[in-house]
Parts: sequence; C-alpha cells; structure tokens
Amino acid sequence: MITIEHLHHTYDLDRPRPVPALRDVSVHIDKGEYVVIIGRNGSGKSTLAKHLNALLLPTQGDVWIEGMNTKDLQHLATLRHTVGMVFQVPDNQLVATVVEEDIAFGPENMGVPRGEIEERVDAALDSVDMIPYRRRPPHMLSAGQKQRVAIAGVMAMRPSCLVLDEATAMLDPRGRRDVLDTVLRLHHQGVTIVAITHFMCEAVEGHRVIVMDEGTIAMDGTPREVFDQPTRLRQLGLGVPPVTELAQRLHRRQPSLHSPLLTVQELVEELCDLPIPEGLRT
Amino acid sequence: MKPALQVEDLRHTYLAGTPFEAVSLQGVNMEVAEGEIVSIIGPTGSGKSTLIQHFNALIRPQAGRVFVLGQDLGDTNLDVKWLRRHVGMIFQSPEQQLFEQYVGDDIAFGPRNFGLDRQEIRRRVQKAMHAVGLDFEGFKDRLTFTLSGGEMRKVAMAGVLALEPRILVLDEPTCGLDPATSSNLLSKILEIRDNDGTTIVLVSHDMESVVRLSDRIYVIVDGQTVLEGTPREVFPEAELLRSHGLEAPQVTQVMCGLRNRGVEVPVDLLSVCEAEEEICRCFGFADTQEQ
Repeated sequence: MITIEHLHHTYDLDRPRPVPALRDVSVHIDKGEYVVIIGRNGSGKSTLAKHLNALLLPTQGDVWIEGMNTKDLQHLATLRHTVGMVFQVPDNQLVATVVEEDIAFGPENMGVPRGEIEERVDAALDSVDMIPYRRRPPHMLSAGQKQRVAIAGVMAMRPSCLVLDEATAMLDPRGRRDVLDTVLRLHHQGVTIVAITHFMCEAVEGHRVIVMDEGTIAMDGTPREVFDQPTRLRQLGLGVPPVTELAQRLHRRQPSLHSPLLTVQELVEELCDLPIPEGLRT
Repeated sequence: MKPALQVEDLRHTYLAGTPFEAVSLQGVNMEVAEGEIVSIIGPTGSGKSTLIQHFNALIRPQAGRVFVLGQDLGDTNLDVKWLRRHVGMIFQSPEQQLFEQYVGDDIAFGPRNFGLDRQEIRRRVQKAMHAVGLDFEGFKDRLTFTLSGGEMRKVAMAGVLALEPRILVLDEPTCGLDPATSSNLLSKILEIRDNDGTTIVLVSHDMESVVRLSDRIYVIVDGQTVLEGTPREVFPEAELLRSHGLEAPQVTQVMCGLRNRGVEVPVDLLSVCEAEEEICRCFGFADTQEQ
C-alpha cells in the first residue's frame, strides 16, 4: 500500500537556515493495517503524513502509494483519492452549508455520475453513523459530529487509505470515542488507517505503533511491544497510558499478573482472575 | 477564605428573540476561593466557554450575578481595564496570538500597554519567563516564528503572566502538546499557584490534567452544574460522568471496574501510586517493592 524509501524532507531548503524534518525514513505499510504514529512535538509526524498524498514532495528519497510515485505528477489526482486526509480542526475542512452536499463535494469534483454520487453519500454517511444529520448545516453540529462529517467527506472519494492527523485533539471524551469507533469500523471494512495522536490511550487501539523522534523512526512494533518499554518512551518525550503504568507496577509485585496491559478492561479482567481474598468479595 | 470568583444563577442566551436563539447557560452557580485551582469540565457545547468569557467581561451577565475580586460585573460603571489586568485569560492554542518578532517584545506587550516603567517591565518579563520555564537570556531575542509549538505556547502564557494577574483562566492548556511537554506545563501551572497564590480556573477535556491540578471540579452540562466537589468526590461517579459523555481518569476507571465485578475496593483513588498501594493491600501482593 505505502512504501517509503530513504525519505528526507527539509523545510526552507533555499534559506540560510534549512530545517531538516525527516531524515532517511524508510517504512512499509501493508494494505489494511491500522498504524498509529506518536512522537513529541516537532518529531516529524505531520511532515510524514503530508507525504502520503503528495501535499509535500520528498527533498530526497521516494514515496510509493499503491505503486505510484508521489513525485510523478500524472498520478496526483488518483493519489489524492487513494489517500484521504483528516486534520485537527474539522471546520477548516467543511465546505458546504448542508452535510450531504459537503460529502458530495469530493465525488462531484472527481466527475462521478449523479446516481453514484447519491449512493456514495449514503454509504459515507452510514459509515460514520450520521444519516439522521444529512440535511443539517455542519456548523450547527458538535465538534465530534463535524469531525465525522469530515471523515465521511473523505470516505465518499472511496480512498483505500485514511490518514488522521490529530483528528481527536479538540474533542471531548465522547466525541473522541465516536471518532475512534468510526475509524475502527472503517478499518474493519478494509481501509488502511494511519493515525497521528498525542493520546497514548488512543495509540493502543492500532495494530502497529510507530514512534518518531527527530525526523527518524525510533520505535516500530505492536502496541504491546512499544508500551512494554516505558523508560525508552519517556526518553522520547512520551509515556505509557496510566493503566499500563499501573499494570507494570503491579506486575513487579505480583509477577503472575501479565504486563504490559493496555486497557482498563484488560487490567480489571486480569485482577478478577486472581484468587480474591475472603472479605473482598461482596 | 474570601472568594476570588462568585457566580450566582448565571443565565445566558445567544441571539435571544431571533429564530437562532440558543440557550447556553441556565442557572450556573460557582465559587472559587483565592489561591484555589478549580476545573470546569463538561461535554462540547455545555456552556464552559460562555461561562469563562464572563470572568473578564468579554460577556456581561444577562441574568444572575458574577463577582470577580469583589467587583460586580453587572455594574455599568465597571472598570474593565482594571478587571482585564487582574484576570488573565489564556485561550485555546494561544500560540496563534503571538505577533511580535522577538519573544521578549511579545511578552512585554501587556505591561508596556499598562504604562509600566522599563525596569519594572524587564523584571516582569524575566519573572514570567522563569515561571513557564523559558530561559530569559536564551529566549528573549529569539524570533517567535522559529519556536516549537510548545515553546510558543509558553511564550503566550508568559505574556499573560507578565500582567501578574490574580486570577488565571486557562482553556485547554495542554491540547496538542506531547506528553512530556504537557506534563512540564502542568507542573509550571502548579508552581504559579504555589509561589504567587494565583487563583486558577482550568477548562479541559483531558481528565488526566484535571486530576493532577484541581482542588475542586465543577461538571457543567447543558448550561447547568450537575456535579461539584473534589476530584475524589467527582470521579468515582463514573456512571453519571459517562451518561454526560465524560469519563474518569483511567486509574479511577480501574477501581470502579473492580467494584462492579464485586471486588470490594475503594473507588476514590486518582493516582497510579495510590491505586498500586491499595490493590496490593487488598489482594495481599508482596509488601516491599523490589526495584
């Protein structure tokens, strides 16, 4: 799906002080993967994301999306429908005054026939669970709902990959949960997901976590592998979710408890499987 | 202790009398003592922003009363300039408000506007930069647009702190920051209160920040206070919070999860260390921690 080979990106290349943002990044992402990218501010996460649909082009190296090189301008239109992007602030991404028209904007521009546009809009609205809101003005929706409309707008172009750059940062806990559930559903439908986040408890939802630091890939593994190294993560300006830290501490004192555990549910289950002392049971 | 901030039955309706009329606040009551850190949490659209915009008279009370540092904000003779000097507001993504070329000038803008003398301005800029953890000599002559996101946010905060406000209102201060930067910023906020006795009002969706800073919490839903108390009182109300689209910190969720499965453990725990001790005690795990 995505192959990145020796990618370098430098901002302000022609200025006196060029800023290297990516240094020799090579990574391969398979079709249908759910990859979460974490890393401290300025580590190059967003720069990397912008290379995935040619919003930025390599200073050096290559990015291949389904066999298309992003430098090859004849593929630009196809590339942009193949990889859809969702950013932090949905308001910047909504263009129409009615939800369904906003979602139709992408396919209309692609020259999709009328009948099929309707079909796509229905499917996109359904995939983010927003059908009841189709005739509403987007600015009257909550932030989480707007973000789901933004995702639907992207999904109507039938991309095979969805890139989310801190798409949950501005949302309240319910809005965040709704967006994450939507992303999970799209993932189950076979869409490749690349999500950038600062919330460690969101990073555990993916199948693979890539940790960026100073423009390079510092760690790459399953959430369990990555979050099993709290010291290393802390050196990289990150951390582990509180529940994982709690499980790690408990594991030190009761080795039969597994570690790392990534969710509240997992830890509660593990503890309940232990023999519970008399008097603690109600 | 006398309250720094008092809100009595505050109501606010946007675009009243038009077809777009929207009720935002419907009877909020709150009280914040001097030197206290109080968090306001609530789902999007619950009226949190409308409420805090009253605190420096960006919005005047339509019905009900707001007192800040003893001043009635409904008073038509209110000295707004005085109020804004004492109530510092740091909105979401304040780094977007930087406009000067140099860090030092940006931070000095407020005190200069209030006509302070050079030496006093320098002292305040130095102190404010120290408070947010920016080295004065190292940063004062840096160009603002070359800073990282976290540094810009600290500069913006220092600009507000340089006014030496008695009340500081922070809207989502850690949003978009990485874990290390946000943890560092939270410690700085605690220090500001501990060193200067500044009263702090925090609005946040990040319960881990709320739990680390707050003395007390107000939960606002649909423009009304639905719950108020210390973090230990508020967060064990997991069901109520969830029904309003909020959630407790993960540690409290673990304890509530155990309780729901019939294990008799205390639920009013907030930090990882407390939970570790309590679970080890209840389950009879090894007593001494081996490092």
